[in-house]
Amino acid sequence: MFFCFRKFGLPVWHAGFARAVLFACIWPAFALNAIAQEPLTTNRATEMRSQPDDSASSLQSLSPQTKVQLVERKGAWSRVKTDSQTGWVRMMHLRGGITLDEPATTTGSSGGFLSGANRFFGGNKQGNMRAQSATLGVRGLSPEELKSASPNPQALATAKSFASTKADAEQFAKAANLSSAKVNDPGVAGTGGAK
Amino acid sequence: MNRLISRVLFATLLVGSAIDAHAQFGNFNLNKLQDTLKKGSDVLKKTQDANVEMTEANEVETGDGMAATFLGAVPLHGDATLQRYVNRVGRWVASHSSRPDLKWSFAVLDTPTINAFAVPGGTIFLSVGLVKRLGSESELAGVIGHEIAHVMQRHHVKAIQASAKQDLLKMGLTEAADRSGKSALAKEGIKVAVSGGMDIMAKGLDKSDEFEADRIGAVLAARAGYDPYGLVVVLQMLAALKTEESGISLLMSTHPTPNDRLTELEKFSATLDKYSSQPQVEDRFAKVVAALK
Repeated sequence: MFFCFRKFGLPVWHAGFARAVLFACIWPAFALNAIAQEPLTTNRATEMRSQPDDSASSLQSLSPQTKVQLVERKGAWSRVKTDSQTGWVRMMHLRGGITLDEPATTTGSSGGFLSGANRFFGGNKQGNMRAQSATLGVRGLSPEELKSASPNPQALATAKSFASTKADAEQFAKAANLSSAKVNDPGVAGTGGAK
Repeated sequence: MNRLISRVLFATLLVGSAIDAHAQFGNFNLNKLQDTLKKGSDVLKKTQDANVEMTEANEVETGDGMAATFLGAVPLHGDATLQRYVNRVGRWVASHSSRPDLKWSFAVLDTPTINAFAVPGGTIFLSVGLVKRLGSESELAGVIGHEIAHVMQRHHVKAIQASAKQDLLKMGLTEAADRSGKSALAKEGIKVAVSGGMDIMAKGLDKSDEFEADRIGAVLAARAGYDPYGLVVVLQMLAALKTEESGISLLMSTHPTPNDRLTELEKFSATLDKYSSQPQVEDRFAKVVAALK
């Protein structure tokens, strides 16, 4: 139950907070994404359209900093809900939480995906405060504990025993109708425009 | 420098005597001493060369040392279906990288924290907390693609090498490269590399490395046939999570990293858009996550 609270972290301004949390907990897991409607914010003036298409009719002009709830997504588009309407907005015109028009902080990010091996370990003060909500009840994650952790090569061997092979992975991909595409890296000169 | 020379010589003597197990210590041999001294100066010369490169074998050994340490602190998730699933998705994405033949492995850690990270050599970790937050295989592929990009670009290896001011690491790696990790000195070198690697995990990579990993991660997901916007969705989820779940919005909003990453990734929307109609693969992903206890 605790996990549900933490997992969905519904916004405090959500009207049916308690009901929604309960709802979230009894929903099957495939609905995770749909229910985890974090508030997103438009980071520029943008159009809400009737279809996920630039040429579709506009339902509403959204001003910058409009709070929206994510309903679903399709390719480059997110279907979102404002106070008055639901429609499609370009995904790249949305940012998470409060969008500040401030230059990026120069704090180094971390090795982790979440900008946070730091956070994962407990890290700095910010990280610690953040980590408390996310790591409650988990042991062995502080830098001190990690330093004193004795290596577990046996667990590594177990982890590696699950490894797939090129051929096996290819078959698995085919089963989901995935096929390789030739995609140039837009960051490498000569293979596509970077901007 | 004198200290360094004497350390190199001492280490070389150590290594030399270990290799020549049949050497008779009572039988002092001038040729042998000269030979040993020459070996010592060779190692020293290599050590002074700033460009000590870790070989792929060194990289794997260092990564394994780091991975074993993580697994000593956080247990592997017990669901074999989940582990196999993540490995198949990961291996498929990795096959589209510039290092398709590394021994890639992907491990889900049993922790509700939300994170994913790579260690050198091709072992990638994801927390089950993150996996449960995702909504489709394309999102998983985006996250994994980001981590594969770190390994592909050897971001951690370069950071370890750059911070390897210690003579020991340089000497050890030089030895490790020469003697395929067999000597005592090589083992010491790897140990120092592992410890340096763990420091980098705690400290973090350069921002530019993270931005690059996002771009390449999205490209790899697209090459593997997924909708590359999966990564964008994950970044938005993280960005939203940051301000709202912490209850310390102000503090967190001074550190808007996932939003910065979105802004960087937006520069490549032309590429993302081109492949945005590729599958998200939701059903298969949902089944695996739904079966988790």
